[in-house]
Amino acid sequence: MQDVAQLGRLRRVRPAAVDYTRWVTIATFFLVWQLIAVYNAVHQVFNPVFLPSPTMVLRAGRDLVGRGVLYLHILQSAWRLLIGFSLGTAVAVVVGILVGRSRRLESIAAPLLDLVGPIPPFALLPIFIIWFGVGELPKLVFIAYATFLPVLAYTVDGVKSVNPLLIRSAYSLGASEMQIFRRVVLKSALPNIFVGMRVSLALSFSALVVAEMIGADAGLGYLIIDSRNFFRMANMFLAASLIGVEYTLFSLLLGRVEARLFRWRKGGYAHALER
Amino acid sequence: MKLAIEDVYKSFDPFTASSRRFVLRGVTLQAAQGEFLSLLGHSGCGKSTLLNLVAGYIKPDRGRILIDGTTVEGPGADRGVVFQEYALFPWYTVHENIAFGPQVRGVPAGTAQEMTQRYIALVGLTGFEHVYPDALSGGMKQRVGIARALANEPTVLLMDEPFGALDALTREAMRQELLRIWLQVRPTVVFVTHSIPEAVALSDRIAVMNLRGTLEGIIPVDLPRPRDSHAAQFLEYVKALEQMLMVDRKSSATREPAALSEE
Repeated sequence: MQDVAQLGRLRRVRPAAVDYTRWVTIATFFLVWQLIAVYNAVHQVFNPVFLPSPTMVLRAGRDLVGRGVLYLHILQSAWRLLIGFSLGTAVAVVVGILVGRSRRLESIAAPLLDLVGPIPPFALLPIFIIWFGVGELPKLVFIAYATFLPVLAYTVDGVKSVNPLLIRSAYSLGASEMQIFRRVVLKSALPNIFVGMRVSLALSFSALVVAEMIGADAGLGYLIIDSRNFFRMANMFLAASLIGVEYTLFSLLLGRVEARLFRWRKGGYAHALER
Repeated sequence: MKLAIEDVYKSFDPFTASSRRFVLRGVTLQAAQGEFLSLLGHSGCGKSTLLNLVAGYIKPDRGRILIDGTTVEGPGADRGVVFQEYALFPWYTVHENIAFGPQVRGVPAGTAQEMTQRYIALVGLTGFEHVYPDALSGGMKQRVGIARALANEPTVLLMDEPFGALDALTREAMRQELLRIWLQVRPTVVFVTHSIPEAVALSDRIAVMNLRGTLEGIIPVDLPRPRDSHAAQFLEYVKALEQMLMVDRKSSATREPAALSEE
């Protein structure tokens, strides 16, 4: 046990050193961007309107905050993503478990997925809008749909790869089908489901932006399109950056949940050798 | 009889096959309350198949298996199983693994907690309650496996080569541990092994299985416990069993197909 604790402590020291170079890189990136923009503003290598400096983007942000609309856009996008992503994940997990458990259901579902799967979700957005109107519903359904397919594939895979010995041992301990499902199958498939969620998160954000660019009146995607119409480059950079920030936050949140859920899991390449 | 195996046949070939090879051909065997019964034989003799039939994971083609007079229809909490590969739930701690049985059977939380603690103490894992199986050595994992099965207080404890994955030293220690636990709790045990000294060290009776899928014989071990594996009497048992198994290997190196018929 001592070894395990020590291993954990050792590992915690190293990333700190990595983080340091990380911040230097990030700071350098903004510094270089600022220098190029300022240099270009003076010497006019290309039209300075095309590339606002980071400080200009910040100023644009301050203006939008001053007008009280920035929070609205940020929250609108976050809320849409949260609902759409959760909905898509929940449905995918339920369907995935049903499909993964039954060979017959799988033989029905597999060709359907092969049929619909190759179509990029974005190709279907106009159809969704015609079906579900221009309100909030088509956007949420669209984001949910984009989330659904990868999570489904990973869930089915996870359910199918449950160690049958664990199911046997649960039966012999007196577990019912429902208990085996919750305490063995789901627990065992959960790491896979989270991989699916990670893959989906990127797709969900793309879906969010596209949905907001088409027929929305708030949200960061809408802010990009609206700013384009008025050629406000700084606002476009701002909105794009904020989408990146939101993605990072959601991804971190997912990572936190994972770390908490999968404390039992160690191993993999990083644990093979002490370096 | 706690456990009665009556004229059991099992083949893994489909029913439609013209000639089916039988892994088990008319095995009849009983275990009394509190008895330690070993199934001994070469790999491929069907001893694990027999255990899986008793556990209810697979179904006999013919014959039946009774626990306390009730026919086995599928797996159940009355037959605890300890696996060679441990089969612990990696997402549960030692405590949660052992509490699994009492919890799913709806034992009240307080009682379940008390039972779990008792069996953790019994197998000597006090202090490791909140550790995940991944962090345990093979011997410790199997202690969890044994405690988890016993915490359900099963009618019969089925052990499928439980020490097969352990190194020689740990194996010897675990043998003694199992003996201590068995003497303390006195469950009825069916123990599958291919180690002759292991069978002699532990069992009340040893059912020797041959490669034809029948019982070669049942040897009662009449030695007081704990048994000294270097004593002359112990070695006599080992020798006798070795001879039984050697004969078997020569006479039936290959198992020829046979139709399901009265033999």
